[in-house]
Amino acid sequence: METVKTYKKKQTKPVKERKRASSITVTHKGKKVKFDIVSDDEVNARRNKAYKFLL
Amino acid sequence: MFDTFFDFKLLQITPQKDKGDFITEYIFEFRTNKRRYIAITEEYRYKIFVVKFYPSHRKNDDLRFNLILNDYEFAPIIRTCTNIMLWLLEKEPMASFGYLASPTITKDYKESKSLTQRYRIYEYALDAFIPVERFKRVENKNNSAVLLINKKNQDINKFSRNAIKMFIENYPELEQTV
Repeated sequence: METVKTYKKKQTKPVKERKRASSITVTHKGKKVKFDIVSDDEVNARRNKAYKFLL
Repeated sequence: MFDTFFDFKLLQITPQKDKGDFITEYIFEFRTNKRRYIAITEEYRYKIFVVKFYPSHRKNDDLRFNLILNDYEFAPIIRTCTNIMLWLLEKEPMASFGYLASPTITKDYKESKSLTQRYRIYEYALDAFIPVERFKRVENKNNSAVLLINKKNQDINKFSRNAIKMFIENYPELEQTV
């Protein structure tokens, strides 16, 4: 009789999405300045709005 | 509105002598229907380019970047400066850009540094004409300052941090915001 080996797929842990910094604060010669990182989605939304507004 | 622009011409490339962050100055000119403009592009370390422009007849004016002229040609001027940035990007595909949207200053009026009128207009114009998928936008609204970081750089966060540090060093008018 022929036996069929079955292999159970190894369960992998879901990869945690790394939280991205939404701002960068830099201190230089005692001056602290914060810059915000704009998400790509926001930039795309803005771009669509800009096209409607400008052209 | 922004669909018209003027032809520009590269006049001069001046490598900077002192070995700081500021490496090369590019001087462009363009003529609107009413006057001649000069666009200066400063190339800094990390291939960061900062574009500035002013009407040539006010070249000796300390407030040349803060002027408001009622020529009704602001949109094509901005579009022309955007074209200069695209020209630089073609020449230097790793280029990142930075700008400070200066506040308007006249005899009777001084605009606040935060979210200036220029900032609001540049935001629209640059988002429309600069390929946004190639840049990470990093902004400081209180100083109306923006960096467009080229995504070809390996570690964008580290690069941005270094770029901001350099921006603060070279533009002392940037105020503390934290």
